[in-house]
Amino acid sequence: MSVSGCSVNGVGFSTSEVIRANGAVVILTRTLGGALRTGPDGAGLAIGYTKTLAVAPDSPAAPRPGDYVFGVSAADLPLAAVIRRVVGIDFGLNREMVGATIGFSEDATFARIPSDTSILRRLVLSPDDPAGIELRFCREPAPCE
Amino acid sequence: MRVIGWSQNVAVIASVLVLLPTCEPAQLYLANHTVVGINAKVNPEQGNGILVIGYDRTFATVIPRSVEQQENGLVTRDAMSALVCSNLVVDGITIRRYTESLATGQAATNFANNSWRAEQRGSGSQDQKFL
Repeated sequence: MSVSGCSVNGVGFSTSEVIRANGAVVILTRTLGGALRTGPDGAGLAIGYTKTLAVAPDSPAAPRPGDYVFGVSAADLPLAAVIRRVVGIDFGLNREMVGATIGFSEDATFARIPSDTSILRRLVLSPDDPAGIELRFCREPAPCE
Repeated sequence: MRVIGWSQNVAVIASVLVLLPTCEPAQLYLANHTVVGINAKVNPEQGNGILVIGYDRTFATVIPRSVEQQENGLVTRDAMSALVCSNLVVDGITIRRYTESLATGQAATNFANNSWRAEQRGSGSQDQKFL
């Protein structure tokens, strides 16, 4: 039986799975019902089924691996990539999109890097194999691995 | 019918010209968007709008065109330096795999300079062999 409700930034009537990958922490969140997003880059509201895969660099601030019954928020993490799939209605009100989608939509943001940043990065993103996701990066002048 | 006077036209054009620089993207942005259904949207950063009925897939890279940088003690503006090699594998309507190697800013400039020097050294040695 599925229970529908509302979630805000992945917390609420959601389930999240946090997986440690290669140099990254992967947060996989599923929501049935309303999913409100408040971040400036992806603000909006989805009504229906939402599945979000967020990839953040492995750090002490990242949530610990495991299952979270009421979801976990990735809003405060420096995300390297995000893939969001929505089946239903998705309203967007953010810097990239002001509008609505009815049906199936998949929004993937692979990179969002400020213009004054010097960085080297390697990303291997496999949504069907979260544990196999790989993220390596360094900011100059730190030596690269 | 409502007619806008010339002074109002000038005011509208002036306000658009004032607002345009604020729409200049300040981030390197790589994204993919897929829709099956109906999608109506406006992109404030790129200043365009689209209506899709059916299936559509978009892969976009937005590079900031005006970045402040120091050169010989002078402040100049130029497009953001970026080197990106990416590979997107799609099965049906969903992403299966995305691979990316990316360098931005001074790291991208250094990488390009080092590659160019290495190429020059390689072609020089080939020329010597040829001679």
